[in-house]
Amino acid sequence: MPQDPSTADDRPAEAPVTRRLRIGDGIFRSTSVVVSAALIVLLIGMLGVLLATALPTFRTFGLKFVIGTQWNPITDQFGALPYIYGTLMTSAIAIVLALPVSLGLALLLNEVRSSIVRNPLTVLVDLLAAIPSVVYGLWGIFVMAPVLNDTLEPALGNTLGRIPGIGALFQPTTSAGNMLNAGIILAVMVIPIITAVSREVIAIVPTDLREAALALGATRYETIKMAVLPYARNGLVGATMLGLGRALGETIAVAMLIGNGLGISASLLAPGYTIPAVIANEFREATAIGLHRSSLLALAVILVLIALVLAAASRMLVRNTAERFAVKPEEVSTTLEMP
Amino acid sequence: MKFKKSIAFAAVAGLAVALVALAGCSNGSTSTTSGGSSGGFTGTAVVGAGSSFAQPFYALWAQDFVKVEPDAKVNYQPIGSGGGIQQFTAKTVDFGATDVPLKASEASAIKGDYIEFPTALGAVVVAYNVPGVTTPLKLDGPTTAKIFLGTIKKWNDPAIVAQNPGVTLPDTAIQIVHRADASGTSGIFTGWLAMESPDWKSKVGAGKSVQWPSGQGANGNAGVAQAMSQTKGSIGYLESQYAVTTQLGVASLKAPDGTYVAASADGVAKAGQDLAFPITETTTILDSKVAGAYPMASATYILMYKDISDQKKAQTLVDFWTWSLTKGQDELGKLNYVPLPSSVAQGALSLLGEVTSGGTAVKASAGVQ
Amino acid sequence: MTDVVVQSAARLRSVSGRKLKSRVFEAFMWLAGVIALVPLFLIVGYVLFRGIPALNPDFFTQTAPPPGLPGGGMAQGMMGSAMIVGLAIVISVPLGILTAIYLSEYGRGRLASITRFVAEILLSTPSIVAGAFIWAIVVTATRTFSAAAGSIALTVLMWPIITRGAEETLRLVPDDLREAALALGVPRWKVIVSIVLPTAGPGIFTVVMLSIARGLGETAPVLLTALGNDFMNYNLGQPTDAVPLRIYTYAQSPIIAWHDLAWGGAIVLLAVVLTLSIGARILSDRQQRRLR
Repeated sequence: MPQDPSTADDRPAEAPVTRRLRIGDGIFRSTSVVVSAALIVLLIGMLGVLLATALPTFRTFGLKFVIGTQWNPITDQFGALPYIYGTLMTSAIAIVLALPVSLGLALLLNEVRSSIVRNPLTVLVDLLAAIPSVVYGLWGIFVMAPVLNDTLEPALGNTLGRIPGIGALFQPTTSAGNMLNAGIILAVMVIPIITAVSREVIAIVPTDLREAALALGATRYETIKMAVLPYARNGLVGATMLGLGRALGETIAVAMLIGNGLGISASLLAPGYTIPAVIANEFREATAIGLHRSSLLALAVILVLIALVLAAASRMLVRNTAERFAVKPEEVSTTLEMP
Repeated sequence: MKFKKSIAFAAVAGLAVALVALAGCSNGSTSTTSGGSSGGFTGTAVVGAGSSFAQPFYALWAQDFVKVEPDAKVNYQPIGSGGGIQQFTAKTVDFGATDVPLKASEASAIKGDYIEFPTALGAVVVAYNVPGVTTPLKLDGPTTAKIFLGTIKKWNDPAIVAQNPGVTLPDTAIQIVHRADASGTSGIFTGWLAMESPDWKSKVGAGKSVQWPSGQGANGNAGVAQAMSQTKGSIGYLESQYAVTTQLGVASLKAPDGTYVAASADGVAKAGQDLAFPITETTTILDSKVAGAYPMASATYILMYKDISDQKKAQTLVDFWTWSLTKGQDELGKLNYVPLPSSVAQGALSLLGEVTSGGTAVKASAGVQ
Repeated sequence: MTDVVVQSAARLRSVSGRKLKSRVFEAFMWLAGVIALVPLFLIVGYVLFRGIPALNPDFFTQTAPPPGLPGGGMAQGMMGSAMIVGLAIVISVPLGILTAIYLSEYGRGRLASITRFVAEILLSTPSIVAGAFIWAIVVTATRTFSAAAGSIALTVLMWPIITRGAEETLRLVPDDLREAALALGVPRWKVIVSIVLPTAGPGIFTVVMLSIARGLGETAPVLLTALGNDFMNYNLGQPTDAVPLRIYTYAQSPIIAWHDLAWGGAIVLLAVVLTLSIGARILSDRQQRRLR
C-alpha cells in the first residue's frame, strides 16, 4: 500500500481544512473496521447459537452421536450416522461423476485457441452455475428422475447389481427418490465450480513449461500430462474440494430427489437422507423440549465443521499452486464457487 | 461507460416500478372493499400453520372469508401438525393446526392459556398405486401393519390375496411412502396401527414422527400423493381428498365388527359421533364401535391463545373461526370432508367465546354466523 | 501371442501411437465440454417448453389458487421475492463494500486475515444453516415470520459474496491512481470514495448483480424465515411468499395446475437470473479489459 504523505513526521502546523479532512479519514477508516468486525461478530454469533443449541445433544450422547443410527423423536434417541452417510455418499457420487468432466472441460478451455469457441463455452458453463437449486430440483423430479428410474436404474440393477460385492450398491428399488438421482443432479451443479477454479489454476502454469515439452516433440496429451497437470495438481485438488464443499451443503435439489428415507441402505438406488435435507424438512417442527432441535443443529455443526475444513484446505492448495508460480493468491479468481 | 451504467440503473428501476404497478393491479380473488357484510369490520392479516390434512378446506375457507371481511387475509401454511404445534408454542404464528390433540408434554410447553377446538372431520385412507388393480382392495389393520413393518414385501402376498378374492395382484414389490415431516396424519395412521397390531405398537409405536422401518419420505399429504403417483407399486396413507384428486386406489379397512368399510362421508360422520369435549391427549375417534363407522376417521384441531393483544387480529380470528364453525361447515362436502356434529360445533363456538384481547372479551362481528 | 502384445505396445509408443493417444484425449476434452453443457440445454429447454404456456396475464396478476380450484397465479411470490431480495441488497451491499474496502485499502494485519477467513467460512456455510440461525434469533424474537427476517437470512449469505467479489475488483484498480491522488494531497477516504470506487464501479456492480441472482434463487433460508403467504403482502414485517418457495411447494404436490404454475415460476426465475448472470459477465469482461 502506498505511503500516505500526510502522516509524514516533519510536517508544518496543520491548517483547519486538512484537520477536517483527516477527521474524515479517521471516521471512514473506523467505519470500515467496525463493519469488518461486525462480519466477524456475525460468524461468532451464528456459531455460538448453533453450538449452544447443539450442546445438550453432544452432552447426552457424546461422540456416540456421530455413529448413532437411531433417529426417533418419540424416544428422544438421535444419531447422525444415516445423515452423514447420505451426505458423503451423494457428494461422492457427485465428485466421481463431475471430476472427469470438469477436468476435461477446464483443459479444453485452456487449450482452445480461438476465443469464438472459448468465450461462449465459458459463458455457458457459468450459466449452469447460475441456475437456482429449486429449478434443478423441479426438473429433476419431473424429467430426470422418471427417465432414469425407468431406464438407467433397472439397467444398473440388472448388470452391476448382479456382481457380488459392489452389486449391493446397485440393488434396484421402485422408489422414485434415491441417492443416485440426488448424486447425479449434484454432479451437474458442481461441474461449473470445479471447472471455473480448475481453469484458472491450469492457466497459471507458465507457458515456458508447456513450450519446452512441445519443443521436445511431445504431443498435446503428453504436454498436458507432463508439463501442466503435475504442477497444477494441488490447485486442482483444491478446486475439487471447493466443489465437494458445495455438494455437501446443497439442500433443496437434494431434498427433492433423494427420497428422504430413514436409516442406512447399501443400495444407491434406495432412498437416502442428507444433513441439509433433514434440517430443511424437520426444523420447523423440531421442539426445544427434548433433543430434537438440539440434534438437528448438532448435525449442522458437524456439517459446518466439514465444510470449514474443506474450505480452508482448498484455499491453501489453490494458494500453493499460485505461489509456486509467483502469482498473488488473491488474484486467482474463485468468485464462481458460489456455494 | 457512465451512460451505459445509467441505462442499467434505469432498467432496474423501471423493472421495480413495473413490479409494484402489477402488484397494485393484482386482485387475488376480489378487489372490492365494500366493507363486507360483517358490520364494518374489515379484518386484518393473520397467519396460521400446521396440518396438511386440513389445508384444502382451510385454503377454501380463507378464500371465501375474504368476501366477508375483505382485509381478513388468513394465510395458512401447511407445514405439518408438528410444525403447527411448534410454531404456535414459539408464538410465531397466530394459530396452529393439528390433526392429533396436544400431548401432555406439548401442552405444558405452551406458555399462556390457549383453546383447542376441532373444525372438521376427515378420513385417513390407505392409498396405493398398483397398476392393473381397479377394484378397491380390502385391508385389515394387522396386514397393513405388517406391510409397513416390511414383513409383507409383495403385493401378491397371501395375506393380501386372502382378503381380496377375485383380484389379480401382481408380483411387484411394495414401495412404502411415509411422511418426512412431523404429521398429524402420521399420528392418526400410526395410532390406528398401534390399536390394531401389538407388534407395531412395540416396534414402532404411535406418533407424529416415528422411526419408519423403511420407505421413502415426502413432505405433506401433497408430497406423499405426488411421490405415490410417481412410484408404481407404492402404498401410503393420505387424507382422503388427496387420494381422490390424485386418482390413487383407496382401500376399504376392516372395522372392529369385522366388516370392511370404505372411506365415505357417511362412515366418517358415524365415527364423528364419538367426538366430545373436552379435547384431551386421548381424544380419538379411531376404530369407532358405531355401526358403519369408518375405522380411520379423525377430527382436526385449531390452537389459539385465549388472550391476543392485537385487537384487530383477535377480532379477525374470532370472526373467521365463528364463520368456519357455522357457514363454513356447509362447504366441507365439496372437498370430501365432513362437518362436525352440531353439539361439537356448539362446544367449539363457546370456547371461542373465551377469547379476549387485553382483557376485554371479543365477540364475533354481526353477519359472520 | 506375446509378439502381438509387444508389437501393440511398441505401436502405442511409436509416433503415430502417441499422436493417436493425443487425438483420443482431445476428443475426450471435447466430449467433456459437450457432457457438461447437455444438462444446461435440457433444463433451459424444458423450462421454456413447460413454462411459456404457463405465462398468461393471470400468472402475473393473480395470487395462489386453493387446491383444486382453477386459475390463479404467482403474483404474490414475485412481489415477495422482489421485497425480500430488495431489502437484502439494501443491507448487504453497503456492508459488503465497506468490508471489501477495509480488506483492500486498509487491512494489513491480523484483523484483515481474520476477516478474510471469516468471509471464507460464511461462504461455505450451507444456506439452510443460515436460515435456521435467523429463525432462532429473529423470528422467535419478533414473534413472527417476516420478509425482513428472510432478507436478514439472505444477507448472511450475500455479505461475504459481495465482500469477496468487491475486494477482488478493488485490488484490480492500479495503485498508480491511488498514489497520484495521494501525492496531490487528496485525503485517504476521498481517494477511495471518489477515485477507487468509481473506477471499480462496474466490477462492483457486476458483483451486486450476481448476488441478486443468487438471492433470488435461494429457497432454504426463505423457507425457515419468511414462511410463505398465499396472499399478496406489502408489509416487510409479515410472512411473505417468494418464487423459489412456491416452486418448491408446488413441485411436491400432485395438482397438475400447480405444476404448471411451478414451471411458470421457473421460467420467470431463470429469465431474470440468467439475464443478470450474462449481464454480469459482459460487464466484467469490459471492466477487466479496462484495467488490465
